[in-house]
Parts: sequence; C-alpha cells; structure tokens
Amino acid sequence: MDQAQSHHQTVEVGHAPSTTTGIDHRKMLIWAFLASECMFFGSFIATYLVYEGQSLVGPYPAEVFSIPVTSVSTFVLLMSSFMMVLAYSAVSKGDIQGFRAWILCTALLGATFLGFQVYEFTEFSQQGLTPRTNLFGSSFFTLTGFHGAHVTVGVIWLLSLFGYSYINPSALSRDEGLNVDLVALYWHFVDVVWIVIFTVVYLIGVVEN
Amino acid sequence: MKIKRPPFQVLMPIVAALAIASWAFGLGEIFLYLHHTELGEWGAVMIGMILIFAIPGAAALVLNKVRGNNKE
Repeated sequence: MDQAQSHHQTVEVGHAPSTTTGIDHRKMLIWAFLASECMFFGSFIATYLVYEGQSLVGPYPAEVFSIPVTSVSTFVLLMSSFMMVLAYSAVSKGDIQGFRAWILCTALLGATFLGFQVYEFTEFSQQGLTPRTNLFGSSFFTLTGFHGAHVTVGVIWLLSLFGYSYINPSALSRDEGLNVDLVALYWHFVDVVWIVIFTVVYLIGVVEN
Repeated sequence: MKIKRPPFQVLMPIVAALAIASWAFGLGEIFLYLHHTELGEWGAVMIGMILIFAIPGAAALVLNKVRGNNKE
C-alpha cells in the first residue's frame, strides 16, 4: 500500500499521466490502433502476393505501372513526413506560427499524393485495368485504394489541427503537444506502409514481369 | 429565425474533405491533360517535382516574412 502511494507520488511529481501504464490513454490507443492497422495492411499485402502472377488475362503490372511517376509520388509522401517532423519540432518549441506553416505543407503534400493516385487510377482504367478485370486489378485497387483512404483521413486530421490552432492555440502548446504527436505517429505509419507497397507491388512487380 | 452554426468539430472536417477533393482531383486532371500532350507521363513527374520543392519553399518564405513583421 505504501509502495503504491509512493509510486503514485513519484508519478505526480514527474508530471507523467496518472494512468496505470504511465502513458497517456490517447497515446496507448493510437499505438494499439496502429498495431491493428499493421495486421490490416499486412493481410492486404499478403493477399496481393498470393495472387501475384495468377491473373489469366491482362493488363499485367509491367504493362500499366509507371515507375518514374510512382517514384515522384513516393518522394512527395516522404517529403510530407519531413514536414510533419518540422511541425512537431515547432510545436515542441512553442512556435505556433511554424507549426501552422509546416502542418499546412504536410497536408498539401498529402493531397498532392492523392492527386497522383487520381491520375494513376484514371490512367489504369483507360488502359483496361479495373477492380473487375483480373486478380491483379482486384488486389491492387483494394490495397492502394485503402491506403489512399488512410491518406485522406490523415489529411483531414492535419487540416482540422491547422484550423484548431486558430480556435484554441493553447491546446497545441508545448505542454499539450500530444495532439500533434498522435497525428504525427499516424502520418509516419501511413508513409511507411506506402514504402512497403511501393517496393513490394511496384518495384518487384515490374522487375518480375 | 436564427440559424445555428454547426460546431467546429463538424464543420472543419467537411471543409477539409472538400479542400482535399478539389486539390487532388484538380491536380489529377492537370496530370491527365499533360499525359495526353507531347510530355506524356513526364508532365506529371515535372509538376510533382516542382510541387515537392515549391510548397515547403513557399512556406519557409511566408514564415520568414511573418516573423520579420512580428519583430518590427
């Protein structure tokens, strides 16, 4: 009992969140969510790999993929992660103007990535590849479509934080940086998933064909 | 009759979704237009590379200007 009280006092003095884990519930939640997302995307990537090369009719990956275009869209997403780091760094220093500038950059680059996806999907459909064409089309559009939906949610979150910084700037102060920390974790996760998709689906897909 | 404004939590995500849709579909249309010119897929590559450097560059310039104005 004494030990428990002593531990509680230590936690209070250290300004750690007063939870049983010592970690803020929201941070614990985002890690649990990201763990479930790993399984979500893992199963889609595994499905894609299982069906790879099993399509009976074309178009096949090497016929539709454009590595230069997808490389640039990957670079756009990587750059947006860098902007996210700058936004988090700004909020850690209590620099709200810097935060606004860099979070808007992150959102714009995220939306640019979605522009590339709109272009790519339209081009593929014009070349005859739709989710109903073959196994490759079904697994490819499901995987990249869900990733695009995650990027869209991320950009909505980023823009909402940008707007929130004007309504309640104190919620994004140095001490309340967790709001930015959570979106940063999500954004980096989405970025890492894309790196895996780009390597497994695009690069290996073109090389193998 | 007074019209009640929707709360920020509802309004902001809707505005954000509309902004994303207009930016992404607008950019997608530009890429498609360039694809059917002599540039082909390299049009999208060029615009993409320009945006990668233009967006952070513009943000840095605006930030410097705002900070300069605040110091004055």
